[in-house]
Amino acid sequence: MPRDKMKTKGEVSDLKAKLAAVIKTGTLPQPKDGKGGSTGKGQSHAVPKDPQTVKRGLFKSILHYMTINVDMSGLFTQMIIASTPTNDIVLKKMLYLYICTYAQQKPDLTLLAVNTLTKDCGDSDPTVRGLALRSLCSLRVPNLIEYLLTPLKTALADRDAYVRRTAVLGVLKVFRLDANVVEELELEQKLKEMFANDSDSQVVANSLSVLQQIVKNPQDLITKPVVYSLLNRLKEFSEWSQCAVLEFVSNYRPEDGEETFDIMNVLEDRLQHSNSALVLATIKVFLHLTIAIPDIHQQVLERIRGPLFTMMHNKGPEISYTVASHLRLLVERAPMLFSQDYKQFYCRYNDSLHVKKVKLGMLTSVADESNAYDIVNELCEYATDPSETISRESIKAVGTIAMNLGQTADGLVERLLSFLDMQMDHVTAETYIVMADMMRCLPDQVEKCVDALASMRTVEVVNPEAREAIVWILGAHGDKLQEAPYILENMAMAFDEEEVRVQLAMLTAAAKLFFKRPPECHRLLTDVLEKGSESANQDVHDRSLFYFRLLKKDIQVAAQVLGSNPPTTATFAEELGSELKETLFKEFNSLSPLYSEPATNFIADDNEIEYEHDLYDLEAVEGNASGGENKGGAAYADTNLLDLSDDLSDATIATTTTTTTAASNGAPTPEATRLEADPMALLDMLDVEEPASGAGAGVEQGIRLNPSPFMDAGKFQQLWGSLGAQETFAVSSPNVRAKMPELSNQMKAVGILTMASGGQEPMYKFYQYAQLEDNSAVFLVELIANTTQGGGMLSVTCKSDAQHQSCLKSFASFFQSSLTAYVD
Amino acid sequence: MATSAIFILDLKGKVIIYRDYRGDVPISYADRFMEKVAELEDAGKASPIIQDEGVTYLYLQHSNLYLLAVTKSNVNAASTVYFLHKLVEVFTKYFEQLEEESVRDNFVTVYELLDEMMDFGYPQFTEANILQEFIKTEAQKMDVVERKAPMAVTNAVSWRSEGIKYKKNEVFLDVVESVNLLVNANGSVVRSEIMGALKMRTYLTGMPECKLGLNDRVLLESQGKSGKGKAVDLEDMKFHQCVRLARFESDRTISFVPPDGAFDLMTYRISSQVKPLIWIECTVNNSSRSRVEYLVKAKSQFKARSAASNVEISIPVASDATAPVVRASQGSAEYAPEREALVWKIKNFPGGKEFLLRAKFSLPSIEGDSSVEGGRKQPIQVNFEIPYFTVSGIQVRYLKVIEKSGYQALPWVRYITQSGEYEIRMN
Repeated sequence: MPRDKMKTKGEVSDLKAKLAAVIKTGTLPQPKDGKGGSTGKGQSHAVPKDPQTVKRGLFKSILHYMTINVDMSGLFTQMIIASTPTNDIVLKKMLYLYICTYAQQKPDLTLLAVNTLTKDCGDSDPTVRGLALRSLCSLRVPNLIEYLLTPLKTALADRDAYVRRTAVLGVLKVFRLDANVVEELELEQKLKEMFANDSDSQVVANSLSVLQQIVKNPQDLITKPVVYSLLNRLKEFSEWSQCAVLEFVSNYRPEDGEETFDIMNVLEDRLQHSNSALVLATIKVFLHLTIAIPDIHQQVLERIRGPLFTMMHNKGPEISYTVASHLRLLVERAPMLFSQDYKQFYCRYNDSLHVKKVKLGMLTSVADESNAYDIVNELCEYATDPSETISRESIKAVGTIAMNLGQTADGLVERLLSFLDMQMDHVTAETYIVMADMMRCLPDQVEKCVDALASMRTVEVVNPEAREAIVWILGAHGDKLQEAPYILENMAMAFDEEEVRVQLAMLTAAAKLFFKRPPECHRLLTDVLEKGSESANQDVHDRSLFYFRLLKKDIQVAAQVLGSNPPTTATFAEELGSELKETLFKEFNSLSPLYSEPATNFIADDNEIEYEHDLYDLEAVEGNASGGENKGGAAYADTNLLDLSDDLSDATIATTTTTTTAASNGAPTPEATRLEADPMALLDMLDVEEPASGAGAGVEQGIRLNPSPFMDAGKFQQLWGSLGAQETFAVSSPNVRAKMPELSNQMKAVGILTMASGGQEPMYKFYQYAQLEDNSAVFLVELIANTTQGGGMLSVTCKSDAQHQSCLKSFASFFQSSLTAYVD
Repeated sequence: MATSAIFILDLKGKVIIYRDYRGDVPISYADRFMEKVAELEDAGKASPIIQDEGVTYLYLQHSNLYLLAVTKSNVNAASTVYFLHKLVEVFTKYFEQLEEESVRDNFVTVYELLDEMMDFGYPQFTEANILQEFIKTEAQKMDVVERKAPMAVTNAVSWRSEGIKYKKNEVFLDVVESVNLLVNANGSVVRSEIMGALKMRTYLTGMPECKLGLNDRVLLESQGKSGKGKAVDLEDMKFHQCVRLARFESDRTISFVPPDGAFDLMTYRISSQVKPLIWIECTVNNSSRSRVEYLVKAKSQFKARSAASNVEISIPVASDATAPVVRASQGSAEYAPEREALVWKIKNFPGGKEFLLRAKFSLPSIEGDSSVEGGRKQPIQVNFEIPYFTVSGIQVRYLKVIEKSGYQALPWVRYITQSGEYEIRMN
């Protein structure tokens, strides 16, 4: 359904009118009813008469628009009035979904709904109680927490497990909003009791998930009795809960071997479960329990091979990929154990691309003297795969296997060279690249490779990486190939058309070959050096000149530098380090093995996530900010706004007086243009109103700040981590909350700019920076504003580099006095 | 370790359903996801689990929909992917067909289901049978007013709810074995394995107790004792969660209270080499530059009392081949240019027989880059079914249904062997 803005606007008001009519009369307005289907899909077959059906139809359309991101928040009041009171559970569900979606935008109106929700928490029907509580806890409006605590506590003791289960997760939702509340109410203790004693397994499982998030040290939860009781009732748990429990148990360290066996015996049958997630979870327990007992660990690996192989080919490509990635991790840790199973890693024609890639990796890992020929034969089949990626990867794999096997690689190198006969462009290109690598590792094979180059037709190789490889080979081993200088000469004719990487390689190759075969290469070398030194590319130009001068200065030294033979390389840096492998192994059964990266590389820690989110999602920040103002009802917000505007005008007057003198000092660059040019500055929401700049501010404290310092976000981040000197102080004032919205502007007036800001009641963060007037030192500031009523507090950390320790001190005291002056 | 939000998108990336669980992934991430997928697909790097700026997208495609889970934590990948599959399963059960239209028509029900299946990113109830107890689709809802709390909660059996009634009590058991085979161009078998499954459909009243007995041979071998004659090892047996595994370990009976409807009771794998059931030999003769001849021999290598049905042999042919002349000694063969293949269909293929096919094509007289084109080759692929036959020799000796009301249930057992990934490479 394509719809333009105009149409949706019309529909919002149309829906509003209909809702109003339904509230009044219980039916839709008559004339519009004739259109039928316009109120929502799937409703056109009958003209509904009773109010319940009419409401459902309306709510459905509203939710439909909400889902396609049309703002329906304007209907908030009508929605609530239209649906209360009702016994229609579907209507309730729709209403609650609506409320949860818009609660953060309309915190004051949400208050109206809270009443209904809390009442439903006492309903006689457990489904309704659960639903209401779940919605109540999902509002995510910190100010409304107080209303949900009583229902939440009651629900934790509800007789129906469905409600308790919802309540347990409710605790985590509250915790994310305000951790203190959870502590004050001793909910952690309550959860621990439920975790240990509740009769319902899902309640236990949910408690486990929540406790792991809220206790300070999750490791403390893992005790022998807890683990045993969980394992003994494991079969009562749902498949998902079993996964969670097993993940938990995998952190347990048994006291001795016997205990390890006991646990494994209990879990043995889980390996036969059809849910692959559960099987992987069990495997993790087995592997981690036995990590300290090598021979058992090995037996475990042998035991779990079968299930893993089966899962790799079952249940769709997504699961195959997940399982294969985990298997790859195990294979890389202990390739020996899997060397007999190499056929399991053969690609199937219909395997998806990513599964094939993982399999190629495993084939490379398991290849040893006993199976290398079979594997390489199979890999040769993949060279003709319709996917170019797979074709190239398989050629690379042949090369890697040959390099890993070293001495015994004879036949393998021949297989590799045979790819050149296939006369497919990408195959040939990849083969050259692999050959170059191989010659670095296997000096014995150099001759064979060089021979294969003799019949090469360089014009046909287009891929720059491959051309670079060819040039490298010619330079390093040109002494063994009769035609080498002439091939290079041919290529050098079109020097200017080559890519930079090829040009660079060509310079080096020509210089190297010159020392091996001077008379033949003299012209070649002059030619490329000349062309290179005229290049517009800095690197090419510099290298040409460098070679030229080196050769001119001292031919002996040049021979030493350029003419030596390449050293033999044993391994390449791309291979996974053993440390990384161990980290990945610890994080078995998560995303890490799929990315082959430890979680810290792709997961930001929780606080940072929210912060970042605020930075990018401007709308959310706006929503939050207005949410803060509206706290406690509209009237209160009004007075706040009044206060603010007073302050603002005062402040502006105060700063303008300083400016007049400063402006004559020649304050540079108009602020407005700077703002436009710097997107980061635009991110700073609160900067919209532009007060006059405060050049030369801070004179009193003996430091002069640049009125419009400049810095980008990346620089800020980098500096924040590296700056050594640090000053901290705190300013407390009851006015902090009221002064918040203008804080950035105020600080800007004194020369301290805001890089980024964001947060939620009662905590806001500001990242700011300032610069000395002579630009000799920069100051970075982290300002954390706590806006709790009555206990407002600004905690400030200032940083600069170590040489400006004393400057930093005066900056800090200047900053402190400016802040104090503003908030008091 | 939890999912932040679940999206259902159409193939263009338009949001059909967006259920936010943790509030850290706004709806706009759907666009980012589509951009990233497009970017990776162009680079040939697409995979079902991708990450972008600290956000992980796990997704699968089902008919004309994407089901997408988004998270900012290091989730259990297998479990999250499995959850998506579970969503497909549940929605399919509810709406019969899971596709754009049915989701749009039932989106309120979809929201209701998502609400019960996951809370704050943690999976809760995912058994369709149980969910159906308290969430009805539009059609059902109109006449059902009574409300039930999720019953199975207190039940020891979480996969079956009480109070199921059928007029006629029946159980269907299909023993299905799929053959995966890969043969090299020189005729050597590279890989051969069989994936077996006991697929059940139960229509039974009450809380029936089922017992399944398999033939001794299978049981003996699964215990590791070598039987006589052709021993076939069942490896890596896996059971549905309803099977009492402890019982199986002790006396090898498979006893269970089945879920209602269709499910896989047991799966297994056989990796010992088995003689390929249908053998294909194909010789290609480039008699001249402009003509190419195919001679294909298909041979059934199982006992004459069985017969394969719906055999379909697809032989890859150069994409620029024209003017086919095809003659088959059995069945019908057609050139299917859209698949770049010659498709040979044989309705009935008895054991121990051999059929021939000859085909001639014209090729464009200029050879040009046919070497590049011809280099990328597909294997010959074969589809078939052999009813009343299993490779493993597995047999159901009895299937008993005991219910306290004492009714007699009719068990129906079928055996079938079919092709899985059955591929023969060509020169």
